[in-house]
Amino acid sequence: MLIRFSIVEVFLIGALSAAPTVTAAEQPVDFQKQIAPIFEQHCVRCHSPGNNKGELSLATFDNLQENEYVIAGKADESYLLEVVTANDGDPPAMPKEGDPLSDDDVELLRRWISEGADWPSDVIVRERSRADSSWWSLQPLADVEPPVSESIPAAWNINPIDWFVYAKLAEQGLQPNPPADRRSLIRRATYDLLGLPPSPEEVDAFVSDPDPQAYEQLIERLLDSPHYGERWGRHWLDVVRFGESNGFEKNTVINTLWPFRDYVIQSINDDKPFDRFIREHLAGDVFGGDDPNVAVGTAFLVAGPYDDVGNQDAEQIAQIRANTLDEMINSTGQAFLGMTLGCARCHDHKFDPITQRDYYAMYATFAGVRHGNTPLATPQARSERTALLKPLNKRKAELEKAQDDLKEKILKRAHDRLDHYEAIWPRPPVDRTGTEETFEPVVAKFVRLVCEAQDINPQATVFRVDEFEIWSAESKPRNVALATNGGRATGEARKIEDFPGAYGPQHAIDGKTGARFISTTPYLTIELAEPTPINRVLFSSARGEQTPEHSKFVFVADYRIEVSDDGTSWREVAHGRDRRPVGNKPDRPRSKAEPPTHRDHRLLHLETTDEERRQQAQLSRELNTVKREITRVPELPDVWIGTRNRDDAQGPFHVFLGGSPQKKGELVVPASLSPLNNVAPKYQLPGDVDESARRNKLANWITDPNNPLTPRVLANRVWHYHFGTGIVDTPNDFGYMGGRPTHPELLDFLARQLQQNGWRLKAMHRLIMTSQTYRQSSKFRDGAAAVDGDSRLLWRYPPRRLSAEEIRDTILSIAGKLDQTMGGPGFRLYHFMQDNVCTYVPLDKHGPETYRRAVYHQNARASVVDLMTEFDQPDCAFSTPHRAQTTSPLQALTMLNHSFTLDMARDLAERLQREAGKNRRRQIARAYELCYSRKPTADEISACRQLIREHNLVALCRVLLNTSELIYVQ
Amino acid sequence: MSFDRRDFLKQGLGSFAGLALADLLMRDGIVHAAPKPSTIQHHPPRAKRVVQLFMAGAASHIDMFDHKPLLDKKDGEPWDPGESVELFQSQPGACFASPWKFRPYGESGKMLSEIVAPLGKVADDMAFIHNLVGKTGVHSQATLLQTTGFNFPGFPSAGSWISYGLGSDSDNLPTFVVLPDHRGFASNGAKNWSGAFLAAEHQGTVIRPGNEKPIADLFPPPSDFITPGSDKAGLAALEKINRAYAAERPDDDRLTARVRSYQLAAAMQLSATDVLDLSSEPQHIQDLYGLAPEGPGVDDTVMNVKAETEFFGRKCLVARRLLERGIRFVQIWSGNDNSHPRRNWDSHEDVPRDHPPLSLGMAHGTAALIQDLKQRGMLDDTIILWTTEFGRMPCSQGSTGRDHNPFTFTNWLCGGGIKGGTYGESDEWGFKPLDRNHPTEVYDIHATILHLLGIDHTRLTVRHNGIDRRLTDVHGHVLENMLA
Repeated sequence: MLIRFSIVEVFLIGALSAAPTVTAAEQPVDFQKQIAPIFEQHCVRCHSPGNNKGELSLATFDNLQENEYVIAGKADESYLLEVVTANDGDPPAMPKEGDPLSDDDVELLRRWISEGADWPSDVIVRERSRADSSWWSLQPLADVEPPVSESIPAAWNINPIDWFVYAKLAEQGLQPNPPADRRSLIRRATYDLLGLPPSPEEVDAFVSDPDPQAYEQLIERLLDSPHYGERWGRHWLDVVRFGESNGFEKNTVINTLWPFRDYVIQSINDDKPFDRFIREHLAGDVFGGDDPNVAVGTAFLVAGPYDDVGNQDAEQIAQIRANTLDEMINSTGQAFLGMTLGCARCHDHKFDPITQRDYYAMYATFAGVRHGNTPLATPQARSERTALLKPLNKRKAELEKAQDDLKEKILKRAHDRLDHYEAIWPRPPVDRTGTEETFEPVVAKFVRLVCEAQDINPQATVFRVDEFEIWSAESKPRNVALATNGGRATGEARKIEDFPGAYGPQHAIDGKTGARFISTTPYLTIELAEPTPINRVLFSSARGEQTPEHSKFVFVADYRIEVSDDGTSWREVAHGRDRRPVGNKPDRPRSKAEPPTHRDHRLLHLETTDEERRQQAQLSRELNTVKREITRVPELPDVWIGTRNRDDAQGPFHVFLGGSPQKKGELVVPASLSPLNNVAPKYQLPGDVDESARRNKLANWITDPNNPLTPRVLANRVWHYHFGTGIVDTPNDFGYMGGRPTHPELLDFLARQLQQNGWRLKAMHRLIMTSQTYRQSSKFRDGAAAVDGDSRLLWRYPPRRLSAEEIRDTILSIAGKLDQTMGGPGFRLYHFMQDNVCTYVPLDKHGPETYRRAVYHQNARASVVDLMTEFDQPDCAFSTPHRAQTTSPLQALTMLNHSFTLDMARDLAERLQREAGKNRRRQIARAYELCYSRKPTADEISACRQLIREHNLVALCRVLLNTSELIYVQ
Repeated sequence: MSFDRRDFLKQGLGSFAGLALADLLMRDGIVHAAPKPSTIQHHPPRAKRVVQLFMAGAASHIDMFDHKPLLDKKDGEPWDPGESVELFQSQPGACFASPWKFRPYGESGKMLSEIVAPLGKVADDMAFIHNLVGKTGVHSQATLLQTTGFNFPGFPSAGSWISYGLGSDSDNLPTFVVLPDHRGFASNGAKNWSGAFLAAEHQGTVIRPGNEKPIADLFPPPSDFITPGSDKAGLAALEKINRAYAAERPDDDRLTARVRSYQLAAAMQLSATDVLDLSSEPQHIQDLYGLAPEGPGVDDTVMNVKAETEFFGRKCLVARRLLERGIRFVQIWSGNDNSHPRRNWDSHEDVPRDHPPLSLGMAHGTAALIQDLKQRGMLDDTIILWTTEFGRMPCSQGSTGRDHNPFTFTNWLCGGGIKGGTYGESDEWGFKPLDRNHPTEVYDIHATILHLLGIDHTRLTVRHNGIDRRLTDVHGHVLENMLA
């Protein structure tokens, strides 16, 4: 038998358990102790149920036996031995990756087979992950005593954070920097908490404040500012991959997700306990009663990209659904737990002790959630609306009934006289592939088609035409409509902004089919080159098409053809009212909401008496009034929190082998994650429990006081945003592939503090920002840098570049143009267009409506917005734990030349003149205070004066907006 | 006054901006000061740069490169491949023979269709893969798969990976340049050249040859306060201020990088203007690429060969000039994403109407690029990859259209250490790979390109959210038999 191992797996790193190598020959081989470790170490990485290369799994005995890789008792005939044995100097065929089996291992295998190849059915061989449940981040939070350092300076002996940091510095023989000056400090603190520069007045007040508590008071003032929530809300929006378009295929913009952004900002400003905040993200709709302000948190579940394209193939549909849930699972793991759960989708996690069962327990937990809108309102708002609507809807129903009754009465009468009517419709109905009218020759300069009824909805009068021919009454007739014969077509058409004329009337006279004129009025008019005798027209919407019935070929049902000499007074030369009505799918019963069939449409028109017409008019007047009143009752606001679907949540749920929904493995139920089984209270729910209970249970488990990951991950994020790097430098990954904590005790201390302070971030900010560690200067020292180049041990405050949002907000702020309006629908720095696809064209010019804080920008995925994108604003396809800080020439060009910078330079210049008068020295001083929170030096003043003198103040402002000092915080 | 490109060209490089910037450049000697970014190479490279030609909407392999005589025989007969067929938006129609004649080219006798005839001249240099398989018949995902190696959003483009791996070979132009179709972006728009989780410097930079503003923000818009003088003085002042700030913080290389970024920006104003100025190309070169006498304004009210040749040829010529100046990766797009009327390759309704102008225009420009690189000795270390989203069906949709075929389609490569020939066949219909167990995947193509650039695709990794990400995910084999 020849077995092909088709694919080499190259990515994985194997388990590292030691196989026993020496065994007393007289003892029978123990499968579990001696053989399983060999398979575990060398084989299952590529041969497991989730990853069965060569269609072989060594997790159980089944495949080995079926394929006769192992023939019990016959070692020499067992193919397994052949592939692991070296042959004539060639290395063994297996394993393809890693070291070959030792001779002892091969001998053990031989003996095991010879002895009957006993494999107890309850032993399943699994690849071991690199880390197990003893991994540092999975341990309970330690009760740490801050270390005591004898040499610690008095100022560092107050805040426990400083004790931890100082001790580590001392270990390395490092000393911290002295405190930063007050100007640097207020700038640093204001950017950190608000993402905005301090005003010159705030700087002055702080610098000259004699109160020894001035700094503490500054922190309090900043924490009370509503801008705090905008800044820290933006951080959190990064973490929860908040983006306002679906990201796939059409990338449709989502206009109902902004309430979640406002909720995040508001919650952070309110200092909402973060454990509650997290629970609201996962199950706010479950435990929040009917409070929309709580349910909105669950928009987290559906704030990521998702595939809405759909598919004809059931397997593909299942795959797409699995991808959608994978996105939710991954985002949950990263945002709250710092775990890469997604790695356990196709196989057990290679690095962390997360099994496929764990992953699919999460799958079962989220299975009831789909992307979409749900109306959010309080019960009171709902009942108020219902109360308002009830009488209106009742009246509406009455009027509609009266209308229908009248219509039916007329139709019944008409149907009794059907023979009479059908006699006046002798001609065949219109034909989408070609409808012809001939008439007595008439000289025309203009010819037009007027649609009186459309063939899908006879109450509509818009239509499509691929070609409209007008034939001259000559011995050799010509199609005089053709553009090439001088014809000119006009008619209002559907417009696409980035493709003018895509559906224009020119398509009707281009001599070609395939592209159509799509009308938005009842008219298509052709002006002939000159007055011409004509006697025939031929027109169509689906010429040469195999499926003319497709709705995209919608056509006229009733029409008339008119001619004119001047294009203003028209004469009818032909009409289709004597044609039989079009089919209109009469085989299907029609609901009352649908338009009437074409036949009934005509019958109604012909049979209605004058008196009935008056009645109809009266009814529709009243109905319109009622409908207007209904629309005046405010809608319940739709919010993108997703929908909850019982059917989707219906189990049973399985592990998908290899990640394929077509390969169902063992059964799973909603459950907690096994790596924390020994630490946090584990749970398993019955497979049929309501989907809301599953999410609620998970939310409680994630925020359980005994779950060590959540507070550690959160405390680390707060630290990360204050110092630029976390104690763990991979804030989304606390697993094997992530970084290790530089200050593990401090991290646990902070996590405990977080819990003890009721999960409130403001207390954390106070603790961190009042530390000497935070308050020290950013001054560089060669000696310290030689030991700790990245300042991970914090011998100085690490300077940072502002984020994209901060840069834009800063420029607006110092130019005096920042619009501080909070909340509501976002603004856009792109022009949004939608036809078959969505297009986001960056704006060349940013108007005052865009002068709000950048957190209110409607961030569509993959929409490139100049300054924001160039300065590393993420696309939010994934959770973004930290921002990149690149520097590129394109960034420089954007900052120099985008009209936004130039507008702001002009506004800043105007502000300087307004606030500092005509004196250049004062203008320059004011500019420096606004931009850098400091006064200019004499050299700077003279350089600036020169630029103003030789050019102008705006030129200087443009330069200042481009300076490094503006966008670096020291 | 405006810094419009045309003014700039009119005044020539000796003009104000030229002088201002040249001043700066000379004073700082930045051309020499440029620190080369570190290069990740695992073995000696065969090639230095890549051109990716992307046909948006999905070009029909069986009407261009993959000749299927059986279809000619069975034209119009019911199509029965002997298994069920899932199409993207239609039910399978009858067998639909290619409307075009194929004939042999080159020493290899490779059969090519009339609508790619210009490529016949270089047929022996081309390495065809007719058994490439995709994952889905959805445009956006199929496009992403070819550009980023993943059919989900959020991953870096191949060009970004190569920028990350090799760094820049040019002091004053971006590493990865995108030349989009002038009618609009293809499916996914900017995601196709996104750096995703790589730093922003690795994202593709859009250049629009023939456009009035070929590069966004290259020059300031018209304004009453920016004059050549103030621009020059402003840049000089900015440089001084930023230098002083950096000098006080010698440890922070971000600050020196920032000073340099403005110098590079200035240099880019010169070099980008220069690279786009095709007037310096001799007439025979302009003719080789098929540039129209009336230039980019050529009439295309109705898609036609002349206009399509101008559009694509111009991009190819600009691509060559970019490659000469050290650009690592150029992505050239043909076709946009607006489906009706067709301005792309997605010929659901009418292959004979839509394919010829696009295809002949593409073939003309591409053949010119290959020949031109060859005569300059650059084809040896430049890889050209022709790709598309998926193929099209051997059966008809409507009467003259073809639906999507993600089951097999054609890519071809050329130059840069690649041997001409055919590697991987499709079945007799062009429906699925001939050997269904051994298709070629995009990972293999990406792995091969990286290999030729001196990079082991399994070792070019970036850790992102706890996972070591690769262009080739966990897949990919170098197509060894294709290497010269």
